[in-house]
Amino acid sequence: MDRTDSVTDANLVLVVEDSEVDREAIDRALSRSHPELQLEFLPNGNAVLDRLRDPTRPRPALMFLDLSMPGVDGYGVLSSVRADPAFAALTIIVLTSSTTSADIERCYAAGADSYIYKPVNFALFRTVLQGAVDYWHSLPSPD
Amino acid sequence: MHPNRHGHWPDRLHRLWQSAFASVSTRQFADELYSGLLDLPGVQAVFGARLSPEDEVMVTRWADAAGLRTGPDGLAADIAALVTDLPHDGAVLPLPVLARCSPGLAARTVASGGDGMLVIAFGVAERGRGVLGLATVADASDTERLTTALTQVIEVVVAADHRISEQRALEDHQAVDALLAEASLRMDASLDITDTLRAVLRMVVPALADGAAVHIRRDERMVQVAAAHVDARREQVLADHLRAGRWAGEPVVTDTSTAVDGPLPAGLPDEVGLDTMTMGVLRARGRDVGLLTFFHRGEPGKRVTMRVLHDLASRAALAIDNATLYEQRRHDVASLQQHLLPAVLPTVPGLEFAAGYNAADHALEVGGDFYGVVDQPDGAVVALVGDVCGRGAPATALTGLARHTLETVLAEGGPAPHALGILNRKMLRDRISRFLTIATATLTPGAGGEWWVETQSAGHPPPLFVRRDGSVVESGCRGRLVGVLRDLGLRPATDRLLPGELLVMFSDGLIEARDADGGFYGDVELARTLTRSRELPLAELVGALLGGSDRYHVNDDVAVLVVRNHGTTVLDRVLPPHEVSPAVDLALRELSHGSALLDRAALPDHLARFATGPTDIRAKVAGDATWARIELTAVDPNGGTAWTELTA
Repeated sequence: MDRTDSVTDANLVLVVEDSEVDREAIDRALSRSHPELQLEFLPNGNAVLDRLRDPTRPRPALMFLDLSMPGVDGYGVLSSVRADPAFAALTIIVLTSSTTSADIERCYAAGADSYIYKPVNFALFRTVLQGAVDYWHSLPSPD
Repeated sequence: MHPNRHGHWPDRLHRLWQSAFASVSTRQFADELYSGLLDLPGVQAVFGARLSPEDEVMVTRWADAAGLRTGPDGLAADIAALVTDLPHDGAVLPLPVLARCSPGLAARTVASGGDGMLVIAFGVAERGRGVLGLATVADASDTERLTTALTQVIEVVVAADHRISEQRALEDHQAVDALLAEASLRMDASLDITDTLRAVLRMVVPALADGAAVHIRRDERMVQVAAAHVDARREQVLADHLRAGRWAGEPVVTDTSTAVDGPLPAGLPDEVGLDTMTMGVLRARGRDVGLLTFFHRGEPGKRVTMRVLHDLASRAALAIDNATLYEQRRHDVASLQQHLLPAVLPTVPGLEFAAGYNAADHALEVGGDFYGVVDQPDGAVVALVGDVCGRGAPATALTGLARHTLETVLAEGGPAPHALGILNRKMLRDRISRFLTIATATLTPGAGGEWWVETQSAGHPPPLFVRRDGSVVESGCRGRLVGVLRDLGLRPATDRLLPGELLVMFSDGLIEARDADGGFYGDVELARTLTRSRELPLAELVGALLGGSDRYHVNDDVAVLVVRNHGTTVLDRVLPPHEVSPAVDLALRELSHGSALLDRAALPDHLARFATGPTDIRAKVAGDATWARIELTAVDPNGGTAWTELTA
């Protein structure tokens, strides 16, 4: 099977996040605000490309990506995913605790679709995630 | 008779209550609800809908033998046709009646095998309405019991919906409070208001809005300083549009007096994808200092109440106002401080002066440190550095008094102890509660280019001498603070200052500067720096001292004054590069009077390389028979300076 044969699941969300606490928070937040979503977690950036290229599994429509991770960091994942035109339709939302202009511009240049500030407060975090998912899910499908 | 054909309706109702109260949305107990109703005798299909306060059909569900579906095609329109006549107490609408109101719903009923529909409308949270309907078969159903069952289910839905709604309102409230708190912390912690407002917008988007912008008033115009959009590709379009001065459908934002809260049409290009906006004027102390605008797709979300927008706007306005006032105050303080210090130091043949001042970190009050150099009628020169206790207006006034008194007396030829005595008596007579410390150095020309230096210290760190060999010697002068006792107890010291030697005067903030380990600059490192850096051009040396040798944090007010005896100047001319070496050679011969050590045939290598550039060079040679300083400065302002000192 050619890798481009994978079907994109509009409700499948890939979360690439090394912090177990943050993974749990994302799970808790999105399962409440968007119970229709199916979340899949990767604890680092090393396996992202292999996962996306796996022809036996549906491809996510959206990916939350932590910037600061050991090994291949968020910038590395962004660059490698965007270098493959097969994943052009994948929406990538960067999650980070930085609000510096340089970091934002670097992410946009590398192909991020959204740059989302990761607040400490859970209620606010849930609201931020909900706002991002609401926005991207409401857009017409590129197909 | 029990309404459930299997006789377990109470159990199903109990499970529904449990599911409903464990759920965070009505979707989560929809299966339990619809399958329970579908199991009732005579029920062929179940539909449900949620209506907005304006009776717009927002969510629909349909369950029949094929399963539960959310938002099936056309159901919203079919239900919308019913909404004007929805019964609240339950009534079975026979097919002909149903077909007149909503042909589509009648067709769905028939398709499910039903011949009538029991419909009940009910109120839900946020002034909305819910509708539940059962497609029934008349022969197989008991309308009264079905109505009872439906009413019981509605009680569950209404209770759960209110609980979920209240829970969501509470969480939204917590999220908004957290955002306001974090934004306030950011704004309180930084005086870089533009950077801070950019960060605040990143918190707002997408929590409260899909896009946002901040304008700040500058030169009577609202200038965009930050913009954010949840979609990176559209953010640039938004920012470009706003940066070009277009906003809210207006060509240029100039007037906030007519600003309306909104929601308003955003007036943005279609490609930005945001069609409405809400806005708050940033108003501080009666002045409009900026605008905070949220952009939305469609109507703003529930979280964006005008209270939240205005709350955030007022916090931002306060931060902008504080930062502006702080900058204005800093500017005023720096300007006043400058006026308390001499604009230029006098030119004295044989001597070179350089001075510098460090204002305390983030100080918003004028410091009391000062320096000065006064020519006396007999050819002597008096250098002084003083330090008034405290900061602010009283210290500033005493600084002005001290400088004026001392310099007036000294300029008329009065000796330094006499000038200090007059100042001390005046302070005591006027009962000035503050005191000051001061050091003076009276330099009198001697024979062979040397200067005699008489130093006085009234409670001030004694001046330092840096000898030709790099050794650092502290003056032996001592005395008491000015403004405390009638007798200053001055014990002067007299030293020689040879060509090539430095006199260094400073206030105590310099020697009290600390490094990361808590060590004082004045303990050891100040002397080492003077030894190591004594040949630097004087302005650079002063800069190195005020910089704490890149290790000590000079965070207090500090005044530094350095005097170099450079002896007799025998060359000071702008020359083409190829003429520099012969001219310096000639100058050194003139200084040395035949001394072999200064009688060089060629420039030192680094100076020779410096003099090979394309631009003219200002060449200076000064010294005496046993010491000389050669300094070459490129006329090109970016060309720099090279120097060397020669000692016989």
